[in-house]
Amino acid sequence: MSCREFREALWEAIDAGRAAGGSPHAEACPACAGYARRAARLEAALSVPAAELNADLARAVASRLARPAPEPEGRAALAGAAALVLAAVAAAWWREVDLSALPALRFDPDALLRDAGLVLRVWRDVGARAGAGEVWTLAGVAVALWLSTHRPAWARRTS
Amino acid sequence: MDPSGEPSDEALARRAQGGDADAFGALVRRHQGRVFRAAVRVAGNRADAEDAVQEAFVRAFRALVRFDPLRPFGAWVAKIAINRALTRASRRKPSASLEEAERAVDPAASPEAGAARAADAAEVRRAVDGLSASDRALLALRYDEGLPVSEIAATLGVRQGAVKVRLLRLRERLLDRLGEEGA
Repeated sequence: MSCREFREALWEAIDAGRAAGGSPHAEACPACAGYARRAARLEAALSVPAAELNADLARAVASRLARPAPEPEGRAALAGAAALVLAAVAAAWWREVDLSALPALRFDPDALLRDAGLVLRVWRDVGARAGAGEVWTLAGVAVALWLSTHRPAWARRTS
Repeated sequence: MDPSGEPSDEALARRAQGGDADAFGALVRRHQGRVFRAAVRVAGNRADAEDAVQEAFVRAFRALVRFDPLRPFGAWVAKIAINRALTRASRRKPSASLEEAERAVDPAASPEAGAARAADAAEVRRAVDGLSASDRALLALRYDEGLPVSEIAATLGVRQGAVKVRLLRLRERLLDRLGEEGA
């Protein structure tokens, strides 16, 4: 048995609730014997609760339950984002405002890649600080802005 | 009814499903300590853990109609609380709650714990504070919930082999923090 096999078998025994007793390998290998001793200490340390609850939360839970249930955050944000997108498409359709003619908005593959990198960084930073609702709302705004400036063919009025 | 004469979780859950708020309150009081221990390991601080536990019980109450009373109620709520604590931890910068760690291993709180074990627990707690929230969730499922690898894998939606590998790496990182006895 190799040291690696011994250590994997040791954790399997611990996870299965079996006593990780003496083994011929550990008797012959001081490093693994020390490992097994430290594993037992780690198990004991991790079994100490991180903290104990000092309060009775039943009343706080009952008080929260007495309040009306808020609309699920994600569903509300998605509805908001969808409304924004629809509004942008409608605006593009009916007003035919072709903002893509502005120089800064002309298609440029290099600029597009730079912008995509920037958008990804902003997205990651926003995502780290905001909840799902905010992120989805921002996504909706971004799509709405993009649609209003880069009207796709299906949104163009044909005459 | 269990052997101690208290109504079982199943009976309380059925009554709560029928709108009995007192039965749900009894379930909260019975399981809040255990759920809190799992949540605080993930959240890393008491305030977020208490909020996560309250949210978990509120969500559980609102989802009671879909709950099968034959399933273990405590494990179900603990999983919800761990997910809420993970969400809170992902929104907050990691902060080492050393003071809390010292309190948690206060020998007065666990008289049977010897000084050496308390020192190990404090060292491990400091190391756990530096882990990612998902690693702390893995430890909470294993040590606070006492789930076997197969159930941890089912809860996290990953394969058992992946859980074993993650647990082995985690434990070896934590072992590095424990010196040899008497060293």
